[in-house]
Amino acid sequence: MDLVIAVGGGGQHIALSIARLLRIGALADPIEAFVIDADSDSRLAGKLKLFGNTVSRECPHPLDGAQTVVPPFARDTMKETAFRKIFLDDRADPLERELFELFYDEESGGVENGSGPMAGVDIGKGMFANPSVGSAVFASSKGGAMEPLFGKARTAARIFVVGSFLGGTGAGIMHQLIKLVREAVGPAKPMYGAFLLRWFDLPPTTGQTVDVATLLASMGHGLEYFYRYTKALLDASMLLGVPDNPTQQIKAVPAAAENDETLSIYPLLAASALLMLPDKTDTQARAMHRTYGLSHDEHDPLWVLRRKWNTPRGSKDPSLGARLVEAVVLQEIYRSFREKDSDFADFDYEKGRATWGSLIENVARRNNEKPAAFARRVLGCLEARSAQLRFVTWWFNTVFGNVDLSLFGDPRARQLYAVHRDRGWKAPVAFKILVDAFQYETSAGAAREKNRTPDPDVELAEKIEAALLAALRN
Amino acid sequence: MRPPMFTQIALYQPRNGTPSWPGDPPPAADDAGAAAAPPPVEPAQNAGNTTVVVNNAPAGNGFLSQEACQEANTNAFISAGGYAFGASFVGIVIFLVMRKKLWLSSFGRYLTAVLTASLVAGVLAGWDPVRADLLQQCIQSSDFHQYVFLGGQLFARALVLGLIPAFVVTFLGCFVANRT
Amino acid sequence: MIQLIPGSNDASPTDSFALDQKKGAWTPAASHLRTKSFPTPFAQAEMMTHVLTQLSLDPGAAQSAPETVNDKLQQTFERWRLLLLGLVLGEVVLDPVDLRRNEADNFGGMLSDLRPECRFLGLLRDARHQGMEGRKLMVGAADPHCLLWCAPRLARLNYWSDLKTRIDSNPYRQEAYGLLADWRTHFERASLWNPSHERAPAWQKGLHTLLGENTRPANALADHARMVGPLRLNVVPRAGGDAEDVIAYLPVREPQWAARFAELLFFQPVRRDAGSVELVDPNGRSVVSIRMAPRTLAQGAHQAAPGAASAAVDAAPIAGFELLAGVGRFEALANVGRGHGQAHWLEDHANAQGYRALVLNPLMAAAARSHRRATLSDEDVTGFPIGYPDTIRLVVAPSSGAADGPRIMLSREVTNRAATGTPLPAYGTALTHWKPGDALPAIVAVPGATGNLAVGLVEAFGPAERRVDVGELRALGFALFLYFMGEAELRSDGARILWTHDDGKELCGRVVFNQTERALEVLRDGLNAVMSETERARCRDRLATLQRFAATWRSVGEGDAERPEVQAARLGRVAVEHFLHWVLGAPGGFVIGQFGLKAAAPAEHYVLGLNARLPLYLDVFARD
Repeated sequence: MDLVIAVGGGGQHIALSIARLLRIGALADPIEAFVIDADSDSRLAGKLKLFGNTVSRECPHPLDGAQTVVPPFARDTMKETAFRKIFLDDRADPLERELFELFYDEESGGVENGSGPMAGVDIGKGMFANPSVGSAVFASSKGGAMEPLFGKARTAARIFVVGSFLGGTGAGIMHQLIKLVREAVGPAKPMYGAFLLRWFDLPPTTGQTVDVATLLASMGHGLEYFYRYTKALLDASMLLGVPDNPTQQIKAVPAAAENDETLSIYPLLAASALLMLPDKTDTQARAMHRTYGLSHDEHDPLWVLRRKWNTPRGSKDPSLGARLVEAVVLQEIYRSFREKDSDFADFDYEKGRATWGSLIENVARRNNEKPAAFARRVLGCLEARSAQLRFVTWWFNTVFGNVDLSLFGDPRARQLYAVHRDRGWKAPVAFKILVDAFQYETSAGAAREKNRTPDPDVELAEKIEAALLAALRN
Repeated sequence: MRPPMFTQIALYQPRNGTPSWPGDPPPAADDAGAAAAPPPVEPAQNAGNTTVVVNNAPAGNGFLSQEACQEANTNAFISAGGYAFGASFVGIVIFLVMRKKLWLSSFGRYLTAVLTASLVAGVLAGWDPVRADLLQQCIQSSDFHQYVFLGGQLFARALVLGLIPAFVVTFLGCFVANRT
Repeated sequence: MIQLIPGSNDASPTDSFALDQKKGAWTPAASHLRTKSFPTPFAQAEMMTHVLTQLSLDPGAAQSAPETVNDKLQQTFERWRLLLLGLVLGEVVLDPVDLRRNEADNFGGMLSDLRPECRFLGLLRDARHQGMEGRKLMVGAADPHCLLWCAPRLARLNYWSDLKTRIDSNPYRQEAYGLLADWRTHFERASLWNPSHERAPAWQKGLHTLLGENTRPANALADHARMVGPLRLNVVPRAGGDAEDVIAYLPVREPQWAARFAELLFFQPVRRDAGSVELVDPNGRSVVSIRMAPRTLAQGAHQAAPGAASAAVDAAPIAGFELLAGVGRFEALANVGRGHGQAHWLEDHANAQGYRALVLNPLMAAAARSHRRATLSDEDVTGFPIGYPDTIRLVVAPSSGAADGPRIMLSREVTNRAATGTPLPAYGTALTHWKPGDALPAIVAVPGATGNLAVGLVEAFGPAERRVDVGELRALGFALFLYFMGEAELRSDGARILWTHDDGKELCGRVVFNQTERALEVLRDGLNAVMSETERARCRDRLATLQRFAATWRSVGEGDAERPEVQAARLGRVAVEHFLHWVLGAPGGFVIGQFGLKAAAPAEHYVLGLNARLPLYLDVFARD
């Protein structure tokens, strides 16, 4: 199992991308996430936790562990949220006071019995783009909320730390977190990092604590720190950000309002580090602690979709576009199932009873259910899965536009995509491939290794989807 | 008098005026008296007889007998069965095509197939386009129509010999076909 | 293809590229430098590192001054300069603390956990200003990358302008620069000085900018600097496997410190507890305490009583951090250089261990661990003396004033002159290095010593303005002259030269002091004689004899300097020349000619040591 540690808002964006890529098979399971952010109730966190409100019993989150956002420090149980008071109480030795005031100025650390601005940062209200405070608070409470992380890290095959060098929380705790994890897992464990630099713009409003200059300062100083200390703790790392003269596709997008997801290509590119960095890091290169960047082909707006990602079994097209084609076709198939729900549930389609009908009947009988009712629940699961696919393709459509993917995919998927594209999709097409997919029923879906035991209908829906994908790829 | 609906179809009746039994010698006209039919008997009393004399048979069709009508009836059964099976086959085919195309719902497909087959079979059974003249004479004969099953009740005959069997067969056929 | 990196306008031929170096464009503009954006509690140190890294090494280049466009910036090169010079000049003192001490509590623990290499943090306190609760005002701290950084809360106290006034008006500022240049020289000699290297530590860029190319070393580090610290400092490793940091001590200007420290070796070392050795005076009073184990551990061992909260008990291992933890540091308990004993305590005495056994050897072992070496030799210390505490450095590494000679033990006649306030000499000129014709040395190490400590004969010592005249060498020459004339003779046991013509006064010879025999000491009667104008005049009246005497000794001392007998002959020649200078330099003096009948061979020898024999010549016209 690989462990993705997503830190802060940037980390959650990348984690969302990873979840999307996992959902369509562009990344391979098993991957588990550990998400850290001070604000676990933001819209972005909600979107990640529920994968755009698509997570349910019928369809679990594609990225294990992403349902929970862990605060970097136990803010709720802290007696004091004033940064100064976390370290200095009434009985503090003068040496400790001297040290604290040596390390933090009045603005960050406040003064004794100060109030208002002279009270220093109140972390209960946020970090105010103050990574130096965030790092101290995190380091002082590392034994609490973070303890489960170190256990997961020790058992993980590889560790990926993702996040951004902007902002307060992620930028503040990222480096210390990497240091602590490296200390916990030892030098032999493969550990990689993917970090976003400037990738969005703040709206040009005044009076805010954080502005673009603040972000750029955090980025610049964070990178300085990264190159001096953190880089050497990682086997390899990737940095990504908006170049000085960006084209339309790669320019900084305005940050989403109310801390929602900002739709940009950069989190997707950062997610590619999960494949690229281990590929580039052989045994010798580990000691080099190399850092990489990606190049954008301005003459090919679809270069990202052409890149090689995970190659699912049976497929001859490893491109991201191929997986997207499959996602689009699957949605059409599921839509047809819903359209012909009684046929699906009663297996009233050609060879339906001989194929999935018998299987579903057997499972239903084992669970003391009527086959039709059980089949309807399976259909419900497939619809939930379709909603997740829709959440994925919606995002891609937003980022890349409604591009023609006709050149991607294995032949059958490509053919069905063409039917979809030509608006010639008919329900029998879906049932035809469903029946064809039955031959892969025993082999498909066995590769997924999850810690959970899904309900029979959920498991069957997963199996149907896996078989459908196998049929599309073979 | 034949019902008007049959009048139109009658254009396609090639065997009007042809003998029902071409191998049999046509009865002589002077035989009409000689061949005096035995007095009409009640069917119950006449059970087991093979020939009856139809007093009021139209000219040229006076040769009716119980055996002939019974045989015509049997043939009518056979043709009705054919109609029913034929219609059912059509119905099942319709059903299969509709299922392949996933037209309508499953119930709609059953309904369409069964109704189509039943109606066709009923119509065919009632009309019986390949009906022999003898059967017609038997039906029209007041004496011999009793030897034809539901000879005097056209709709009942269409229902029983066409619609119902076709309904059943089509339904069963669709049901079986749907299991594949 | 376009590189997806801020600050890049480069085209890329491949779909990915290496980014192993930080791009300059990522550095925020001076006006946007923001200390709190560094993701570490050590943000102030990081900002100082950043500021120093931006310095230009080009000679004459105008240095950027980000503080002029960024009034929130507390870390500036100017303040770094003030702190460093303030430290060297004693305006700022270094106060090393262990962040895991109980007093530092969870804040110190957090800092120490984050950067274990900074667990032993050097705090900078102003020597004059008071801060919190009567303590000296904390004005900064040390860091491996930037060396020193400033406390961020002092600007509103107007502290920096005050310190600037004090530093810039300090008359010894140039000496401070010279000491820092000396300090830099030691890094250069150790091949650890690379300010222009791409991975050069910021402090080297800062120091290079501060000193420039023109600041000459003062060569005063060995004699006139007290070392404080130590500090862990980043360096560019000499080879791939070498460490990227070294432990080094910083110099604080302290005139004659080496000499004053040498006096400490006249105090007996006594182990008071496991954690320290104290040097005690003849009255049993502790003068200096030398820390032999970290204070925290020592206290923990001592105050084993439960509930002793003030005892900073720290279970964290300090192996490899001994020097940083304070091992080798010493604290003056009484006024150094006053009232010390007469015996030298470097080596063991009959019933007591000396400084070498009790202090130096354990400290060398601890220093070896701290410097990540299996063993440590004297050459290691002399090669990089700033890496060792004074308690090692000033014992093992010679001071510049004694660069040509070994350490010496002084006679009571010399040590009695310590009361003059002039630091006593610690080293004498080796006669292997001095050859006839060279300038006459004022302090000579008598050859033939079997240990590391030679008997020293002192003609005079101290700086020109406070010269202390002793006269041991001319007194020895006087004794040789008396022997030449036949007025003195060697006692039958060969241990003394007696002035037989003056009641058999003892001029010089062997003495036993603290159960230790010294091969040669000029005795009180001999010294009194050369302090007397009467004797001086009497000698001058014997011009012909003086000429023969001079002619005799002018032919002595040539040859292989490694031979002990040559060294012994040179001792005699140095003594004779001092004597002749004394005699002839009197008012109305004259110059003797380069002629006269010289003695052919020594009549006998005074034995200094194995093969080292001082020749005793007798005038051919000497009266019986």
